[in-house]
Amino acid sequence: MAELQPLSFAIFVMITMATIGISIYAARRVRTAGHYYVAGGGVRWVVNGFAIAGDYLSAASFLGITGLVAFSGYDGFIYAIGFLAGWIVALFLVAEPLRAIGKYTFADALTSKFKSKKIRLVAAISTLVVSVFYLIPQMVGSGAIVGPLIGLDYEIGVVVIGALVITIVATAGMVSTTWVQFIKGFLLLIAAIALTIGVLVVAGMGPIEFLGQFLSGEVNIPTTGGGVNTVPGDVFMSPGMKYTNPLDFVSLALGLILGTAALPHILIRYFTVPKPSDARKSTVIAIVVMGVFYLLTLYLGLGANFFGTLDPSDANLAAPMLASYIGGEAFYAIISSIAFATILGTVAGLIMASAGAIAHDIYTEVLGKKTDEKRALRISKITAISVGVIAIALGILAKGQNVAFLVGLAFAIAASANLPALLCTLFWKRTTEWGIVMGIIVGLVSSVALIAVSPAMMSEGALFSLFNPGIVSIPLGFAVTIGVSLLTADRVDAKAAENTAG
Amino acid sequence: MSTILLATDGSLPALAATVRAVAEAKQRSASLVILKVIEQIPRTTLERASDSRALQRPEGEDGIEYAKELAAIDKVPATVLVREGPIVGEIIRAAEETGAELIVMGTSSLKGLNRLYLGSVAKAVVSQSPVSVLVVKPTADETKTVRAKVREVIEPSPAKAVAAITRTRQFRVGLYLFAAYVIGYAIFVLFGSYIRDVFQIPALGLNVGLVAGLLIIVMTIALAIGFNAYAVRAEREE
Repeated sequence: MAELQPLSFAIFVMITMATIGISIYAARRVRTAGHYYVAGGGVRWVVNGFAIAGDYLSAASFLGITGLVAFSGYDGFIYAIGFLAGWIVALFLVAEPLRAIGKYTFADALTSKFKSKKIRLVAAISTLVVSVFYLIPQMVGSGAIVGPLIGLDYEIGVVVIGALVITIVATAGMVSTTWVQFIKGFLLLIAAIALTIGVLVVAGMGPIEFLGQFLSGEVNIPTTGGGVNTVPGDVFMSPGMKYTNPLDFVSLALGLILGTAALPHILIRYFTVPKPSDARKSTVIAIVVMGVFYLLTLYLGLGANFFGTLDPSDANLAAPMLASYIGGEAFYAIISSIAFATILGTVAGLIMASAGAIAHDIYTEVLGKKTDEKRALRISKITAISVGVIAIALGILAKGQNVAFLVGLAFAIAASANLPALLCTLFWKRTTEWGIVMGIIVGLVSSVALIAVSPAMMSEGALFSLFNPGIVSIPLGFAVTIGVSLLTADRVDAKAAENTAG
Repeated sequence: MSTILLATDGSLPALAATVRAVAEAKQRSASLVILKVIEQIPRTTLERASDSRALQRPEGEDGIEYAKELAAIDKVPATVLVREGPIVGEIIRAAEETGAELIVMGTSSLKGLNRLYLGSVAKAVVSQSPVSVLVVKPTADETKTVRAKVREVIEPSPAKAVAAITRTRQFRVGLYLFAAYVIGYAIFVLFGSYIRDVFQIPALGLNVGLVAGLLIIVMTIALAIGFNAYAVRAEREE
C-alpha cells in the first residue's frame, strides 16, 4: 500500500541515527537508579522546560489538533485552549510543592506523607492505566502516519518506533529521554512557526485578516464519500460543529484543564530539576513554548482547510499535506520527520513513567525487594524494555482506533484518579490513607467504566450519553477522597480516644 | 529521674556533644536539659562573623532544634532553657538549678589569636562546676559523622517542605491568579456550551468566540511570565 518516500526516509534515518547516538553517549553517565529515573535531578530548567513541552506535545497535539481544526473549526480549537489551560494548574498549584516531596515517581510523591504500600500500589496501577491509554494512541499514530509519510507499512512503523524508544529508555533512561524531548520540543516549535508563516505568505494575508475571511464566506469540508459538506463560515468558527451536546463540551473542557497536572509522565519531569523554584521556571518555559505552538495550530488547521489539503479518511494527515502544498517535497519530508520525533519523545516519557511504576513502585517498594543500586538499575532497564515490547504489541492490536479521542480519555482518567489524591496530599491536612486509596480506586474505576458504556464504545443504546466521562468521574474522585478521609479520620480519633481511656 | 545538662551553641563540637549527651541520657534513663546561652556583650558584625567561623558553625543555627529532634528520635525527655548573660556563669547556674548530675559540652581546638580572644569556656566550666563535666572534643571522623547526622535530622519532612513553599507570599499571589484564571475559563466554557450565540457576535474583525479563545492563550503566556518575574524577585528578597 505504501510508496517509499526517499527524502522523508533519508531524514527519518538521520533522526534515528542521531537519537541512538545521543542515547549511547548519555548511557555512560547513568550509573544509579537516580540517574536512570530522574537524570540525577540535575537537569537545567531551560532544558527541562523544552523537554516538558516535548513530552506533552504529542502526535495528538500536532497532527490531531491540526486535523480537528481543519474539519471541525472552532471545536478543534477548544482542544488547543484546554490543553494549554491545564498548565495553569501545574504552574500555580502543583509544580513547586511536588518537586519538594517527590523522588522518582508519582507514587513517591503520594507516599511521602503516609508511608503506605496501599497508596503506592493503587498509585502505580493508576499510573499504568493512564500511561497505557496515552500510549496506545501514540503507537497507533506512529503506525498510521508511517505509510503515507515515509512509505513503510503500519506494523513496520509501530515496530520501528517501538524499537527506537526501547533504545532510548534502555540505554540511559531519563537522561537520553530528556535530550530527545528537548530537541523535539524545539523542532516542533520551529516547524509550527515555519508552517504558519508559509500559510500566511501563500494566502497573502495578515494573521487577523486570514482568520476574519473565514467568517464572511462559506467553508468546504470534504467527506469520506468523496462529496463536500459546505457550511457558513460563522457556524464553522463557533462551537457546535463536533460537540452538538453542550454538556460534552463542558466535560471535555473540565477533563483537559484538570488532567494535565495529573499525567504521571508529565509529573516525573519535575523530579529532574534540582530545586522547587526550577520546577516553576521550567513550567513557565513550557507554557511559553506550548502557548505559541497551540496558537499556531489554529493557523495550521485553518490553513489546511483554506488550501484544501485534507484527506477525509485520515484527518491526522492535514499538517504534513499542508507542508507539501506550501513548501514542496522537502518541507513535507521535514515536517513528517518532526512528526516522528514527536512520537518518539512522548512514547519515551510514557515508558519511563510505566517502568518506574512497575520496577520502582511495585517491585522494589510494594513487594519489598530491596537490592543494591546496580541490580535496581538492571531491573529498571529490563522493565522498560518489557513495557516497550508490550507497547508495540498494543499498537499493532489497536490498529484503526481514533487517536486524539483516546488521548482525551487519558486526561479524564488522570483528572479523576490522580488529581484529587495529589491535591489533597499537598494541601489538605485531614487527608487520610484510606481517603487517598479509595479516591484513586473510585476515580479510576468510574472513569474507565463510564468510557466502556459511552457512545464511543457502545454506538447504539449507550448507557452513558457523553463521550467524555470527566464531568461525572472527576467530581466523584474528589468527593470520595474527601468523604472517606473525613469518615476514617473519625475512626482514627475514636481509636486514639480509646487508647487514652484504656 | 536524673538530669543531664547539655550546653550548646550550634557549633560543630557542640553538635558532637549533643550526640554524646543524648546517648548518655538514654543509657542512664535521664532527662535532658538543653541550654543555650546568649551573650549580652555587644559585638560588631565582624566579630560575630569571625566567632562563627572560628567555632565552625555549620549553618548558623543555634543547635536547639537539632538537640530536640535528636532527643525525640531516641525518646529522651528534653526541655529547653535559653539564658542571657556570661556563658560560664549561666551554665554553672543552670546546672545547679536543674540539679544536673552531668554537664555535657563541646570544645573547639582554637588556635592563635582566636584562642587568646575567645578563651576556653570549657576550661572555665570544668574548674567551677560542682558536678562532672563531659567535654567533647571531636576527632575528624566524629566531625564527619556528626555533619552527616545533622543533615539527616534537619532535612525537612515532606509536610514541612510543602509548607515552606505554600507559606511564601508568591505562592499566595499565585493562588489568587489561579482563582481568577479558573473563573475566566469557566465563563468561557459556559458561553461555549450553553450561550453559544454570543460567540458568533462579530468583534474586532473576528467573532467573540475567537477573540476570547485567542485571549485565553495570550493571557496564559503573559500570566506565566509575569508570575515568574514576581516570584523570582520575591525569592531574591527573602
